[in-house]
Amino acid sequence: MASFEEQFYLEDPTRLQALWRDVKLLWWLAVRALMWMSKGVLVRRVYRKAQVSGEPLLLEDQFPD
Amino acid sequence: MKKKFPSPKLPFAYRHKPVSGNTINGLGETTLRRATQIFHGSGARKLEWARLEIFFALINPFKVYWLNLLNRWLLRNADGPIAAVQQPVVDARQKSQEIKALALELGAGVVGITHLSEQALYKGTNPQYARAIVVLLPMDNEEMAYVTTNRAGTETMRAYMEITRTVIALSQRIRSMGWRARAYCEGADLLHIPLAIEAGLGQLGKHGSLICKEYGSGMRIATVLTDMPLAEDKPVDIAVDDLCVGCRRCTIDCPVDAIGDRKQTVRGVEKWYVDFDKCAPYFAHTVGCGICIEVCPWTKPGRGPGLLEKLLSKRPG
Repeated sequence: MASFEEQFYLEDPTRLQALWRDVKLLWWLAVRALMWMSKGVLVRRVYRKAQVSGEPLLLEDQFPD
Repeated sequence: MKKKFPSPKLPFAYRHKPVSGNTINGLGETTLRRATQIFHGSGARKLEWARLEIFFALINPFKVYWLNLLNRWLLRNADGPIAAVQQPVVDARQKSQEIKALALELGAGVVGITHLSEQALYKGTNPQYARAIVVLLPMDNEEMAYVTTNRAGTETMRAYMEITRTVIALSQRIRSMGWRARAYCEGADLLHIPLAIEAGLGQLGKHGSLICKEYGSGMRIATVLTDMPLAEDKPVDIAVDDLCVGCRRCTIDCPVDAIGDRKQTVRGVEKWYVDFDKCAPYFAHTVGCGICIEVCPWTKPGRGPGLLEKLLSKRPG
């Protein structure tokens, strides 16, 4: 796995390299935005229920390995 | 009047708790070693507390999450082309003054320069730069009065975006002088607090955050790493320990009792330490918490310089 820095920080890129980096970063951001809107909706729903019921949400149930 | 903060009883738990962050990061250890990332990673490796981090990200309000993504977009310009002709640095001291003036012009609140020390690097990382230009930027105290709510979380991300723009612009200007420079902000493989302390911007407070003379802990930190030869600043004594030894505001107000009253030995260094295992889950539950930095007497706007003078006058001799 490469870090954010290793993936998107480019020292002296060509125009094409910079453009390709921007495309990859936009994809990276889109995946995260979609995750907030899909998986996030489910997690927040369960989380709200846990707050009301007093029965704690178990993180392993939401994020299995 | 004492503010009321969310209950320490959390609506989430683990079936099997991760390995203690205090153990991973050497609480009680007497040997010097680098810190290990356990939360707020850069994506390079799976962190022990990754589950909590993903949970934290997904329960954040959209505005905070969105600002974080926008900040990542800005960070693509953290590095870039270097001018072919390198401007020689004849007088490192004068150049430091120029760079500091430039940083202030670009929006920084306070600036310091130091060497890139081992203490600032996580285990397994190896940025190849000689020194660090550390930048502080104050947050809006009126907004931060709403800590544990979306409003303060939004202000934190706004400040991060502002400081990101500043360090990116500064790194670009240094590269235009023909020297390597890379900007680091939130979520980076770099420990900003040890660098800020070495750069003479402040001292470590009881709550585990930097306290600087000007803003207390009501600020964000970012760094530009560079090879440009610059005169380095020295650590300062602004009497933070004099205050923290006697003051119990953050220890009392921390809902999960994560802040201790005594310094502890951590990876060979005696320092103020916050119990990670207690702090991180509450932090996740409360949009990044921030109670300890908000209640710190030093964070009150304009109070720092007077407080420093008072504390120093109380010293014997």
